[in-house]
Amino acid sequence: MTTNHERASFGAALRDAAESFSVPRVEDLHELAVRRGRQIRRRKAAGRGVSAAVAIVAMGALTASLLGSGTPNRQSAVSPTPTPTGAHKSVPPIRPGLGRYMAEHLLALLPPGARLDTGTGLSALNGSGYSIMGSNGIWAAFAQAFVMYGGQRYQIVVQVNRQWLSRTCATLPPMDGPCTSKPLGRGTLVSTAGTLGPSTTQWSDYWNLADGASVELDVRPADSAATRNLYTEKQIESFVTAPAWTSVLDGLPQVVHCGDLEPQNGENSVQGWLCVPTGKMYPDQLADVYTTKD
Amino acid sequence: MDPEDFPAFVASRGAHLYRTACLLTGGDTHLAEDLVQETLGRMYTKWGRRRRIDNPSGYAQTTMVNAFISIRRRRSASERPTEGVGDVPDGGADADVDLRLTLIDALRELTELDCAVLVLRFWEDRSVEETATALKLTSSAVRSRSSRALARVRERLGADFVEFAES
Repeated sequence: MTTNHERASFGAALRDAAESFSVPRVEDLHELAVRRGRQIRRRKAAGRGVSAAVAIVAMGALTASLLGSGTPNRQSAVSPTPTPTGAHKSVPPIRPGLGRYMAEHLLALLPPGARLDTGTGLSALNGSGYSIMGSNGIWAAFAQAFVMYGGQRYQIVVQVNRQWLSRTCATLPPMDGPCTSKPLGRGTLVSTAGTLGPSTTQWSDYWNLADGASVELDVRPADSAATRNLYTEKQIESFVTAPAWTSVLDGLPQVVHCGDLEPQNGENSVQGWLCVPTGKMYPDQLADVYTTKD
Repeated sequence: MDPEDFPAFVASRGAHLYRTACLLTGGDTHLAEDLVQETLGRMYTKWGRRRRIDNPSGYAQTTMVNAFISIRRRRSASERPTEGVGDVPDGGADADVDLRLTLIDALRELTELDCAVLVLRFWEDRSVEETATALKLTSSAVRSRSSRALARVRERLGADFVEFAES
């Protein structure tokens, strides 16, 4: 039998235990939430698009059949991605399949011995094409993988983006680990590390180019026992400068300078970013998300 | 907080959600981050329609608990050992840390529904009826699960169960 005193004590004990955990930075929580939210929106949009395309093809086939041609009306199978009215023409055309491209090349650049951690109920590998990250107008494509390596679980995130300013040891949020900077190829490699939560360290490497474009590699161990990055210094240099990211970098849209970008609701047929002061719409990559499992 | 502002919502509720996730996952901070990401990601997709949500904080908590139950049920019990998964909470005297670790271990050993019941009832201060609604259980099921789970925690903590909050 549990007494009221025991219940009160247990409540206090739970609060004591919960409040003893160090909380990740709010900025990190927000960024992860936005990434995940956009994945969900794109997946819904992709599902609607596929359904619409199937319906249109079926309708075309039915129409053709009724007309006696016997050939499906291919013209009816229009792109499942709606084009917003008044789309901003200066945004480069989105590369189809970029989400998958990002994911597959991240997979190809895993260190020897690392394997995807599948069967957890969460996606082990996913990627996303260009989209605007946050309200500061930065376009980015990213991929992430959950892997097992040396008996430890790691999360690896690669993000190709264009910042307002290059990330340097001076502009990065202060972390309690070292921050180093050195020339690498046609850019500069900035490497930093720090504690995120109880005994959890993140290693972040930024390969900055002159125009603010960068390749970012983040590695987090899932287990507190992991105390070293699964990539060696040489592997990090090869990773961030890999030719796979070059074409992504070259195609990055410019930063959108708009003081009040507002996302359109994912339930609408049009999805993207509206720059309120100018009224211009920046279409997002509705269907360009790749995931192995969810 | 500006109710129109999703970043402000994350800033005001993110820490609490993360701590809830730490309790649900028995101290697996990586899974806790995944849960927070999933929960806030789902909130983000609904943010344009948030006026239809009377209580965004409560909605987020319910979303998190249901995501946790879903993930735990999809995991095979043999896929990952439960021993030593939890991270060590910060700070405090050694005795306090030992007690916290024992409590976290005890939570991890509960079924996902029993753990969710305890977290909602005693961390979130939800009533039996509110907990039942969130978990799609009857009120009597919540009471019986709560009593059973508390008994299991009491077995694990022993004499420390009552003294925990006073230490």
